[in-house]
Amino acid sequence: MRAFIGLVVGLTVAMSLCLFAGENPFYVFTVMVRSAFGTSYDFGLTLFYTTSLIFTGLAVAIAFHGGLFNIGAEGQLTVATITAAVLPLMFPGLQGFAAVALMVSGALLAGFIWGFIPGWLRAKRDSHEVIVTMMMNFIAAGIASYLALEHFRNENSQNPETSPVPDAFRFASWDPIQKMFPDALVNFSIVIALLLCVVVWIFLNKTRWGFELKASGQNPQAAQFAGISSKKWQILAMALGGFFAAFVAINEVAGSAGKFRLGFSADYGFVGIAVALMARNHPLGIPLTAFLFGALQKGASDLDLETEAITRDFARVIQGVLIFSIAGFSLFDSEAFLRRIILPKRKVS
Amino acid sequence: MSPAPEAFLELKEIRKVFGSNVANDSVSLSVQAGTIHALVGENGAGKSTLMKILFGIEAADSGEIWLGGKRKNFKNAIEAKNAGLGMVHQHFMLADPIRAIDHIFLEEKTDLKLWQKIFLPLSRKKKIQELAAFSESLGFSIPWEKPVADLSVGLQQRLEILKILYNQSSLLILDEPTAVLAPQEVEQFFGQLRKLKEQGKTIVIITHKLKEVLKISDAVTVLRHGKTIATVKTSETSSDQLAELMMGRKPRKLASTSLTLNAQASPLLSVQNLTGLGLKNLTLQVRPGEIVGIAGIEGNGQSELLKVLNSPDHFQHQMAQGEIEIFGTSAWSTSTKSLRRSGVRFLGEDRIRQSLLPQDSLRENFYLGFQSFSELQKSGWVNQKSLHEHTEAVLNKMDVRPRLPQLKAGSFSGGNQQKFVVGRELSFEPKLLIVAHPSRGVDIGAIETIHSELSNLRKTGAGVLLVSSEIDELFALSDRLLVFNRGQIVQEFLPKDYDEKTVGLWMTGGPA
Repeated sequence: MRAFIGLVVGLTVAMSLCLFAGENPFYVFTVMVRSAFGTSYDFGLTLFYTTSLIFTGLAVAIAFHGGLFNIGAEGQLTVATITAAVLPLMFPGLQGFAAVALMVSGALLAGFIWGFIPGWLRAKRDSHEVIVTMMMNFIAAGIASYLALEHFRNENSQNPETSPVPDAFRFASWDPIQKMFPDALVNFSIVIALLLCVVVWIFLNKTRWGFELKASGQNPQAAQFAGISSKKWQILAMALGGFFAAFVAINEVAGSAGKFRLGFSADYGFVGIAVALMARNHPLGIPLTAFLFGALQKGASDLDLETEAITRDFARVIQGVLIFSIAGFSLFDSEAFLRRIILPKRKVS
Repeated sequence: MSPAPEAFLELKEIRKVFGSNVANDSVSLSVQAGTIHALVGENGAGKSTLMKILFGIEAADSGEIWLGGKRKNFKNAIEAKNAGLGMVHQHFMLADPIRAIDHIFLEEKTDLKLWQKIFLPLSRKKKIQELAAFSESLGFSIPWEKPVADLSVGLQQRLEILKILYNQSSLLILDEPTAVLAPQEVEQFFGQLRKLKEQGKTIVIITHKLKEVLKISDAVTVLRHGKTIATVKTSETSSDQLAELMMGRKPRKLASTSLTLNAQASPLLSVQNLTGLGLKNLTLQVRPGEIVGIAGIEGNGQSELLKVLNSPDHFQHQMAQGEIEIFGTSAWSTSTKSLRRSGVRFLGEDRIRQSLLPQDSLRENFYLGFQSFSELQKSGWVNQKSLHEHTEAVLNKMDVRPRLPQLKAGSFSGGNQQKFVVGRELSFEPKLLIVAHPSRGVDIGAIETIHSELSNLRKTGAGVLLVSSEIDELFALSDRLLVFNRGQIVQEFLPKDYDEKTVGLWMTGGPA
């Protein structure tokens, strides 16, 4: 409910910004809605963004449950995606299950390691995970572009990207979701994403290990006192974060592009923070918030083309205002605020 | 209508409802200027809520507050502080990483300008000398340069008290101030309170200890179930009468179960020559069916002993020498987890930090410490039903209120949290219980329950190592009493020799 009020307030502010920029706000609004939901192609693209955001949202949320702040989902998904794009090029002959198994396990392992390192450094050396993951985002970007441009570059393209992976490594032929939304990029990964949310929810709420992870996050000292190795869970929470972020590689390489494209990520890793926060780190809330952000992402993308004044950057301003107000309102204690306004009037001399 | 002129603080018909829970139902309290007024009542009687309302932390639904003849309605604690109120909360309001001295700076009332404050740290040395002199005059000594996290619970409370005293508040509210002080320190502290009273300060003291009420206060107000039951002059009442007013029934006497020990039985816990972390040559044993009490002023090695016993594998390399045997085998390479699984239970000194997940439900909190128990999980899948039942059983047995296993642990009162954690550690047939301050901050009724549970445990053949700062508790429960001073056991007492003065003397270092 609060999030909805936030959405309304945010839209109002964003629309008045459009007015200042010299555009008819209602027109802008129509363009955004049409761009996000207008045709089945548009909707498919919205769902495509949603998929990646679910994965990164989970990546941030699981770390939060373990008491850590994972702002490294961007780097984790980058190493996973480059791994997923490069492995098939190194073993192009593989067919069937072996092909999928190699690519998926390679990508997930890469993400896992990329999360494990900051978790380990935090637990053993007390290096703050925010700094470490941020640095590792840069390292990941560097490694990925080095591999993509120097060793596996697609010679048939002007774009900075790797050569496409063989068909055996892709969903296309059997993927029912792709058949529902032809050309729209959304693919079977969205089913994986939704399932993963349920699995994470079950893990956190129904299993002993989920409990140990949450306990370590909430009160490491009490956890330690009760015989839970909270350091171990710190490391694992972060590694699991990397593991979940790595699923983006499946959406990108197996499901849609079939290659690593430099700059393919629409800041999934960072928007994932907002996705997780707005869902209050609840695994079953993440698909909803991811969908909201996916729609915003897609909705804003056409503004550049269809309006005069609203550039790509301005579209991001609109996104930012919306995120800010929704997040602000969902965390905002309106009751306390009202009480504070009203109380002085009740004061008796 | 204005209150009688001599009433310094007057609370009238305060009412406060939380959801369906009536915390205060028309509570009235009138405190005369320059007196010490005790406020007593069981856990959940509404004492803390009342003080929070007075202090502007909670807003009353109805009722009036008069202070010094004026109607007041503090919107927050800062306003209350500026009006001369000072409060020591039961749960300390200290920030772990910040040094003791900076807590004084933080709250000090000052007329300095902002730019002058910037240079305050320069005068730190002078300030520390001043503070040291001030605290010495009270008989408190605090390591001012240390961060709060490094101070023992006892020292933290002393810091809280000093903070208030140093700020020259005219009305002091003390919530369970003596909980962690040794008998001699309590005497000293009361002396200080009397001095403050002579200086014209008004003091409200919230406590469960009726003995102290009788010793220090001028008047007592008793609350029960959110209502004022009575206000009596201390000189005209007795401990029995107060207990009866608090509980609404006569208190039971704990049947003393002195039992003949089997000296041949091999000890459950045996510590030999343990040295390191401030402990010196510590040797002690806990045999089946025995409660061994440890007395001592906080910070004399009890915390360290508890830590080492909780996870020997962690501290193995920090100890210079010594041996710990639990159930007859060396425990140095044993983890907390396997200790718990073999029947050892721990209850640490700091309930919230060491034993609770405040934001999780009681049900989840019950699970804490029993993660690997097959009664509660099967190959990783938590058995929610069994968890719920066990939690409810603890709530019933220990009379935790409200009896809602799904409620967040953090929203229970301190006393109820304590009852819950004690009950939890007694679950699944413990063989050895290592427990610190089991009845800290709980009311008479709950103390009865906790004490009878502990002595019942002894009948099952289990052993208990009991660390406490309550002399009465130690006397009531221990079959043997060891006195700690500076990391050493300086004296051992048997029940026939229990005497508050003698034990207290040994706690402060023994006869000179």
